[in-house]
Amino acid sequence: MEKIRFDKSGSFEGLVKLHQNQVLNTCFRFVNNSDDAEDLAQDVFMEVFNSIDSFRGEAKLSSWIYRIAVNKSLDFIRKKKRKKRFAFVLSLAGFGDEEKELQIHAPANPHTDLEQMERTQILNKAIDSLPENQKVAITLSKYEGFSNKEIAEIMGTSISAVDSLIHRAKNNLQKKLYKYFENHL
Amino acid sequence: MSRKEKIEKEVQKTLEGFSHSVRLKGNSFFYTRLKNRIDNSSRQKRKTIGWEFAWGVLKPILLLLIIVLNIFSATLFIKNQSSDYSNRELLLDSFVKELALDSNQYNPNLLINE
Repeated sequence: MEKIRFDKSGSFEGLVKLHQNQVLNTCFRFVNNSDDAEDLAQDVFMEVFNSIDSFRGEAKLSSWIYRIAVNKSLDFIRKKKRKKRFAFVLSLAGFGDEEKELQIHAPANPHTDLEQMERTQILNKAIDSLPENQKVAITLSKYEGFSNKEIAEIMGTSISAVDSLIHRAKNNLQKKLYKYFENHL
Repeated sequence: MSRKEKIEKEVQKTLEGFSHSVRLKGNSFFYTRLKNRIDNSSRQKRKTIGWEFAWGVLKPILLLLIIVLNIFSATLFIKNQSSDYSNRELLLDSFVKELALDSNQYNPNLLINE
């Protein structure tokens, strides 16, 4: 059994530097906001630091780290949705302030970038509407380029289950996008 | 191009967005920020542990103190009660003697008002 030990000040820095970008991007794919993604990435490494002793070495260390990242991101989304629902109820009752919409930075090349950005937004919305496990599988596979084996380790499931999840996610995405463009073209 | 083909083309173009996605670059102060947070949290933890330790020591001492105080006040109460009782006994005895309640004779003092 591979037991990971690190001197909690020395090689931890190396570990963070090695995985920080991928963790940051994994979180970003779920939350679609760079500031939130950075805060989440910090939380992920805090948890890694605090619970490294509980890591039993059954999976690769990187898979364990990305599993924490995925779980934290999903928790964040759930909390945000709950907050939104609560704010909506409050606004119906006449209390509460309006929530700010996601700020989108102005593109460098207005024409092509705007179109691309719009497409990305449509795609992200479609991904968001997928069931949670399909969303995780397709995001890790298509955005982050993880292999199905790695995704299986991260999600704690079998490779065949991941294959099926990705296949279903692709089909669902195609259906959702088709429906969207049917109404908007 | 038929409408269906147009829609399929749009869907395809949108799905290609996976490969056009922008990647974030990590902040150069990421680790410094993280280290600060870790230091702060371990300092906080140490403080909490200190309190926990103090509370762990203080708790039995306080408990013992409360028990001792309880025993002390209980003995004091019982002592007072028994001395009260003996006082009452003495008082009764003196009344009995004073009023000669234990004799068969008339007590002239009691007949004054009659």
